[in-house]
Amino acid sequence: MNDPFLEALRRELSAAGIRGSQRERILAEYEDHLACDPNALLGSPSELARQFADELGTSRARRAATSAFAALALAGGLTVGAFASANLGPLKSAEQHPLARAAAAVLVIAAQLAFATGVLAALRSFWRRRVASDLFDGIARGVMEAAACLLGFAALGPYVGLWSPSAA
Amino acid sequence: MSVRAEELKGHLDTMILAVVADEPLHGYAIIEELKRRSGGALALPEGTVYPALHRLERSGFLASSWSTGDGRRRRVYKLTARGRRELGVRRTSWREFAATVEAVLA
Repeated sequence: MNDPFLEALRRELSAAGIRGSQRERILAEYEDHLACDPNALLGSPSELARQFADELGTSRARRAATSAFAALALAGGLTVGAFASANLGPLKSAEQHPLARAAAAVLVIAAQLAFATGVLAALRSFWRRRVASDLFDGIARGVMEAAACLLGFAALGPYVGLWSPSAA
Repeated sequence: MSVRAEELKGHLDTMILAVVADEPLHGYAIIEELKRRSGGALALPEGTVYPALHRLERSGFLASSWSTGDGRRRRVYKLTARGRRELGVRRTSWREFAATVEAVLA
């Protein structure tokens, strides 16, 4: 593969984040096209790479949003289970420790935020398939950050006296 | 007469589905068939057909597989059952749209 167009397209695809088997498949298709018509006018490699990146980014972000929502649902279930089986006495008197009070507030807010963002991402991923990929990426990133925040504070709970992991 | 690239927007996917409906084809053959059916009127930016093929495959309207012929590996696309249903919907929608515009312009 030493055609200048294919070499340029390879560089542009790599720059657009398309690598591995996906990139090789695209290059093989254009290589076949040029073998059929060496004088074919295929267009600007950078523009083509951008179009592929848009297509792949959208579907990748959709998968990321769906995965994030599934992970969030699992985390939420585990957190509810932890609350149900924990001794929540210290949580009721969270004022005894400022950090515990802050942790309790973040725990509640992060859970709400993560749930709302997760539902939004899931709905968008199924209903609005053509939304720009960067929007999906942003939503998916937001879900992951909120979920990480929630899990972080949940894990911190026993150490700051938020709750006791022992059974009630 | 030639059809400009911007006028193709929104219709390219439907035309690809229609071309592949008859038989599985590889990318170059799809482009050639588009040109043949349009009598050469489509000023098709050939390279942009491939992103459209990938998009249609990801939407589940096309399926593809490698085939070897003439000593070359080629990606061959065929219409899925979902793609056939989608093509039917788009054909109906286009005919209604074209009839409406024609009625106004006539």
